[in-house]
Amino acid sequence: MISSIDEEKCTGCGSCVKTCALDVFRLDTRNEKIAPCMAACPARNDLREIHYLLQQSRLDEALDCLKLTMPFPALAGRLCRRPCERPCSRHALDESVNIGGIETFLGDRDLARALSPVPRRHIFKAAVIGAGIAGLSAAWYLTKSGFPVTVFEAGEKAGGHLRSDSVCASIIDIYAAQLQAMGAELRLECRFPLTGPSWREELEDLDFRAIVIAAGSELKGKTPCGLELSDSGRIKVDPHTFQSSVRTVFAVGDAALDNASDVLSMVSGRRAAQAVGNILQGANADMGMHVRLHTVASRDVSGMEQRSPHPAGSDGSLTLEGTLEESLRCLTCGSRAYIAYPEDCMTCFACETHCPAGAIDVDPFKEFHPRHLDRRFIGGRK
Amino acid sequence: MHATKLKTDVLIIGGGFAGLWAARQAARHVKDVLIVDKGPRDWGGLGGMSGGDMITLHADQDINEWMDEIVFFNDGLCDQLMMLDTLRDSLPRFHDYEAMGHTFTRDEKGDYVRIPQRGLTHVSLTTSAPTGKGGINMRAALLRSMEGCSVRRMGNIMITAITKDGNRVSGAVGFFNRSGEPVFIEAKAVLITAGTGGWKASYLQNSMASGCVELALDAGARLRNFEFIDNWNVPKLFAWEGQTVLLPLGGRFINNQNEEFMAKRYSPVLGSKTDTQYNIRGMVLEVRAGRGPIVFDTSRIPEECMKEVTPAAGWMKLNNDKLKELGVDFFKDKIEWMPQPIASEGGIATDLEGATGVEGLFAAGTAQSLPTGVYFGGLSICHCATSGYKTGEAIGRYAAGCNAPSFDQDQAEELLNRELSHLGRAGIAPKDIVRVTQELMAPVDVCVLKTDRGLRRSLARLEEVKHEFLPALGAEDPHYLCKMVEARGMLKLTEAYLRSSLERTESRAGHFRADHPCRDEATPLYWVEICQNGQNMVIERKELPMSDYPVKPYRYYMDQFTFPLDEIESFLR
Repeated sequence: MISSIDEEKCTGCGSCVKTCALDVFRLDTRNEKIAPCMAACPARNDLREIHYLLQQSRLDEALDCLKLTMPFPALAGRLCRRPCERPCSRHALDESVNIGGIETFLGDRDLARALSPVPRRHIFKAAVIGAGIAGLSAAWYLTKSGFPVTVFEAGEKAGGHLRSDSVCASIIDIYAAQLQAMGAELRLECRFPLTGPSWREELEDLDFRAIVIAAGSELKGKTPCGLELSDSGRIKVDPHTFQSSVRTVFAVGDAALDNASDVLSMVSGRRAAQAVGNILQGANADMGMHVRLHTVASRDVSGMEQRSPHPAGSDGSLTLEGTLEESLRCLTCGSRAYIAYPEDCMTCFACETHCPAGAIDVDPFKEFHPRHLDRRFIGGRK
Repeated sequence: MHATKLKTDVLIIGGGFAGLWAARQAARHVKDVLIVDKGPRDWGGLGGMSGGDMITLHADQDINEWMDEIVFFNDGLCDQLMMLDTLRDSLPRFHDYEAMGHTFTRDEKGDYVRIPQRGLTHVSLTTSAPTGKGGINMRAALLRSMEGCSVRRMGNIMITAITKDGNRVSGAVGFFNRSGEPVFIEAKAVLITAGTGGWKASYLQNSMASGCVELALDAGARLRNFEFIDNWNVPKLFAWEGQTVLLPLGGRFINNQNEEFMAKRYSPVLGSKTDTQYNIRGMVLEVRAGRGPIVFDTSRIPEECMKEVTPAAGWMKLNNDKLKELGVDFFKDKIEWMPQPIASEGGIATDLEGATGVEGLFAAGTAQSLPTGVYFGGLSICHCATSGYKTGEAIGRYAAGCNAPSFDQDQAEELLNRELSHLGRAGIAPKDIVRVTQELMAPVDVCVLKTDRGLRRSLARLEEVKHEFLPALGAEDPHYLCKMVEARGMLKLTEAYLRSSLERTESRAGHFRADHPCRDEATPLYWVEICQNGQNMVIERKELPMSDYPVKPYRYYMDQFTFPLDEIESFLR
């Protein structure tokens, strides 16, 4: 029966999990060392964990895990330039995992979810100005954390510059509806003249204790009353918390960042939401937010079997079975295998013959079975 | 939880060799074929762990001679039309395997290496090369050959019930067995290729437990041949594959007196070169007479054959190397062997194209029943290819020619919730049911020299287990939920075995009743069939259509053995 896994040798590639017909193994994906793909991801999506969950067909959990760092995966899957795929360990073996395709699939599943209101956990309210993806991202995470949130949007619909793309526009509409279903308030055609003298007071009079400015690049070169500007003429913010020179005011997306990609805009919204949460609970904005310096797991692919990618559709999309199959190509760099269900081992050696690291040891002596010739079975007992 | 809903033309339950063959063929007729397997997506079933040896009727061989011998070997109890089809199609499938890039062994002259089976003259298997990797290579060849076909494959899905639209099959329900998330599959036709399973004995190759018995009975199909099981000889402490090759080459079983007891007492003609069922009967009688333990002796295998039988690759090589490291030499030491019940040879009754009596439901491979307890090495590899191919064609044509049935979502959810409601519940571990089931099967008077008393004793205990422990089964997580469904299927399989064995009140082929040690010559040949009435199994006899069969039985393999009746009678006391 299965005897041991040598932790020193195990690279966490999951060959045992993927080949054991009796489902004896699982992976421990918690590791200080992050996978190379995660190191390259601007959102720091926990791709190793997401793919591992998909390898187990834990679709709901995989999506939940992705949503921890990526509020709108249906957009990100389509818009992101996929820097994660370049350092993918599989690249040295055959082809990188289609990480973006997987994200798009999960995103489309996300769009189909019916969301219910999030129970309110906090008393003090936050305002978000601008319903582009940066503002919606901030609103999404604040709402998820139980803060009452109001989003003010000057236009007729949410989406900002992404409305020019019809696919993105329809996706944004769904996300905006989900956000409202969770309990956020979305006020359309409602403009705050941020360059005017009294916008902050107006919001404070409405009892908003924190403000996230996500009004896009329209502010560029103009000075919102009372806020410092950066050299490039945008609102000056702390790079971790997106807090402006005023403690209760934050700025995200194009309002604060030069050449912000769509993904970075969403990331800024997420981080600002966390910082807003901090100050609304009396803490400093940056509590728990400084980026830890992660080391990256090694990328040893020697001895691993090649496996060509699942063919994606013409738009790069993956089907359900394509996603599950593609997730199996992930080598979950940096994780460790463990024996989860030893009693189900049937001494077939599949795990050991497939382990590229030589980490698994199966004892050739098998489980003790009841057999005809054993004394208690041969006697023809009454 | 978010339910996964899938839609396909042809759903295949079981991604082993039969399922893969069927999918290839069905995909020629329909737009979409979906294979689901409870194991990993690419594991390829039990065939992947076999030696890849294949019963093949080569062009220079005479099918009539083979059939005559096979009917003889099965003591007349042979589905001759299905066997004829299997033999006829064996060579085309053999060539298909070669065309896919698979290698069968050839000797120095370039001829295929054929090894005669069970002391017969004609019937032989053709071996795969290299020894130890045949099954792995076959699986790889099959999977390669499917690239570009409109076949989707999904792993780790446990199917728990077939859904119906009136009397017609409409799909299936199940769950992802690592997440517990529900799966609903609409299909025009469903093919079961998951085997009827066994008792998780020995090692993986021979016996995955399967829910196929339960699936088929609940769907209204008829089962057949459940009194026949694969009783398999294995080393007591470790696994070894390949006795069907070792025995014909000179391997033999000897007792503690160093006697080849089969030759000396029970079959001077065949000795150990026979079916395991007969060797096992001899072993039981020897041990009862105080001449145990029984060891496997390879000293008479000619030196020039040793290379052929020494594992050169795959898990067999690893196993051999490890045993050697531990000081165990399979070929030099006296290794104790002990039989155990491995797998059922029963299956779903079908016509020659795999159709069951239920509209839209098909079966192929080891989900069908071909052997009757006596077995040629390499028959499953052959039959999975031939029946998979043929049934794949039939189900593809069927699905291409019909409209989609209506899928009743409420019915599907109700069927699935019966299983999912156990999730998260603490209770009796499924593995304990497996252990109990193994013990129900193990007594000699239950599965070697069967007696009415032994069978009824196990049946009574089985009923106790059903009432006491089945309702208390726990499934703390999705893994255990899958094992729970399997364990329940094993109990059902065991019940099918016990009831069918009680019904056949004679001895024939792999079935030996100590209380009815002779053939029942007065009754026309019959199958023992099972159907379901409510929750109860109904056992019926069905006469063999002998007038359709080319070979009229006139000689019997079992007559080559003389097991002493007085010693057998001791089992009745």
